[in-house]
Amino acid sequence: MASVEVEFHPPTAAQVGRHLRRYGLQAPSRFALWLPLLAMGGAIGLIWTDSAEGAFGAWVLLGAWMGYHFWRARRQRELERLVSGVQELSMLRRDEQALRQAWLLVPKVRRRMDLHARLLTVMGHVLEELSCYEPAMVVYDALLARLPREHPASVHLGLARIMALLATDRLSDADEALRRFRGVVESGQGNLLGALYRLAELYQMVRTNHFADAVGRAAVLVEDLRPLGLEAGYGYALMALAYYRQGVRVGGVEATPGGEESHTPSQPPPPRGGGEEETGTLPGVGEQDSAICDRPLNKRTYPGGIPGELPGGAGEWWGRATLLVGAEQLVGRFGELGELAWAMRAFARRAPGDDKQRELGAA
Amino acid sequence: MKDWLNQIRGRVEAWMRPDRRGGISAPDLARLLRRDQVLGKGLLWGAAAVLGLVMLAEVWPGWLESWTSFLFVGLFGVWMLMNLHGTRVAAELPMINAALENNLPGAEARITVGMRRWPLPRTVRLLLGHRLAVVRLRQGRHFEAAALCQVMLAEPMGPAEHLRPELLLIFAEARLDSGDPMGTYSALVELSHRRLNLVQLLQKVAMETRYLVGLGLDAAVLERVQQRLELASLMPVFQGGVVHALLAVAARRQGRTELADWLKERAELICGPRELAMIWGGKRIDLRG
Repeated sequence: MASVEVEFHPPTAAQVGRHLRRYGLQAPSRFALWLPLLAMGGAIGLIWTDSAEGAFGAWVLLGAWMGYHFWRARRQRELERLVSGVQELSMLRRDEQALRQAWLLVPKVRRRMDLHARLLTVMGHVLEELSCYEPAMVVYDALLARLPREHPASVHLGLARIMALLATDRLSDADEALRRFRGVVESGQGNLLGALYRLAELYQMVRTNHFADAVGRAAVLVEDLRPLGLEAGYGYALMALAYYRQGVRVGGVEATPGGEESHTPSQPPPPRGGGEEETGTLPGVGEQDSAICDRPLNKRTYPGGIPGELPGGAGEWWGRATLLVGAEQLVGRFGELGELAWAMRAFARRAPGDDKQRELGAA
Repeated sequence: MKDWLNQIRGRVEAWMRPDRRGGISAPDLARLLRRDQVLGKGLLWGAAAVLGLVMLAEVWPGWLESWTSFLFVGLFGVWMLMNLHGTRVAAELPMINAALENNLPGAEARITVGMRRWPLPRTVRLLLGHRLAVVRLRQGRHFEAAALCQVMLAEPMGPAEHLRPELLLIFAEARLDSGDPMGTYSALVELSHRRLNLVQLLQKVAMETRYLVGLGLDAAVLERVQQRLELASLMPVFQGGVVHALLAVAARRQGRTELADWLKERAELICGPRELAMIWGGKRIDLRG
């Protein structure tokens, strides 16, 4: 059979809203709830007739009910397996595939509240990963409508929604939402929700050009964002951007995308991650290692001391960010980081430290 | 005579309710599972026998006695009761899972109450047994955790077959923590022949890394380091950080300083220096974080 190439178009907010309304959650079937009692009553009634036919009928009824029971249990297990599969696809960042399967599965899990919620959570996350913020917010709203306001899952989803609001420039809505969560999250410092809140706050500061406020958090940022694991890289990149833009404002660097010559680097920044030309030059690292170490090794890549001082610490934070997350991924999620990534690359090309690095690589 | 009767009664009670004597041990679980198996087979054969009688009645009318109908109702009633208990205990499982994170005594109490129910579907009892093994592992009672897993792994699991990899992972971790690399090795070998879901695969990779680094098989652990790191990036935060740290230890021992430093920097950002100091100091590593 010839394979059919299907072009992927993420759904619009209206399409998502329509899909969720059409295949919204349904209460468990009353018939299914009463079925055991009905079957029992029917069987007893048939036995009461005190005839061989009655006894036979009771057995047929029992057999049918047991068959239905096993079929239902099997179907539930199959649905659970499928939903877990969708979650795995999302974890593996196969976003389009995950979204397509989640979309098709939603109608089948209408009577299973837990599976429905799991699928919608995956859908929201995947839509956000695909930068479809408006549809993602529709999904988050549908989920938030079901949860109590201070439930941890509700806070988690609310914070994801704030990130989407910020990405779509709905800054006042985001500010209001952030204020609402402040009390809830302050008590949970050092945990995932606290870290997500700090990330949202930092993103808000960057979006609203409050770079000095963002830079003021630098001392505690690593500890604050640690519960995010590798995702903390996004926060470090935002901090780098805050440093960079603050530096630009103050006048240390006149960086404008598309105007490479206008850069006046004071010190060499680390090279950007992901590029082959950088990875191949790491000293003492074999082929396999160099593929892993596609992000800068700050202190060793520039033994004379680095990055940090691009404009006031931007390089240092960018180095941390790219240690955890590839530069392409960083820019893919937060478009505004493109400017910084571009500047870093420009600096790296002109940096005198590159000669040293080449020497080390050759050695 | 009275002593003899008491002795009999004690034995019957111990057989019926082995968990009365406190926490449920591996032999208790084995007895409960055997009992469930006997009941399950009894129900099946009883149902088949009554169905046979009904069929005979079709061939020879008037042969069917009314007691077969009552036998049928009895069997059906036991089956219904078993399913009712199963539903109730299954409804408790999410609460048990939640308690496993922050309230181990609470989780154990709920598991014990669930285990006391009889009749209980075997699948549900195995699910409870799995949670009990997790409790024992988190309590640091590694020998008991391993023994519980061994009991369940020795049984045919039927619809709960998906638990087998989970039990093998617990068994491997328990054996590793109790200083038995051979037990860990056998579990890891069995796991490598099974189809695992992503979460199980991540657990296995974390376990394998710990096992290999613990035994000093650094070259083996660094052989597919890129793949390991890709999987580590999908692990829960602390677990991923620990894997980075372990790989850093292996890389340093292999003389791959650049890689070791890079991994250490990453591990420090993920886990924090205080937690990592424990790993560098060679203390026991809790992969669950």
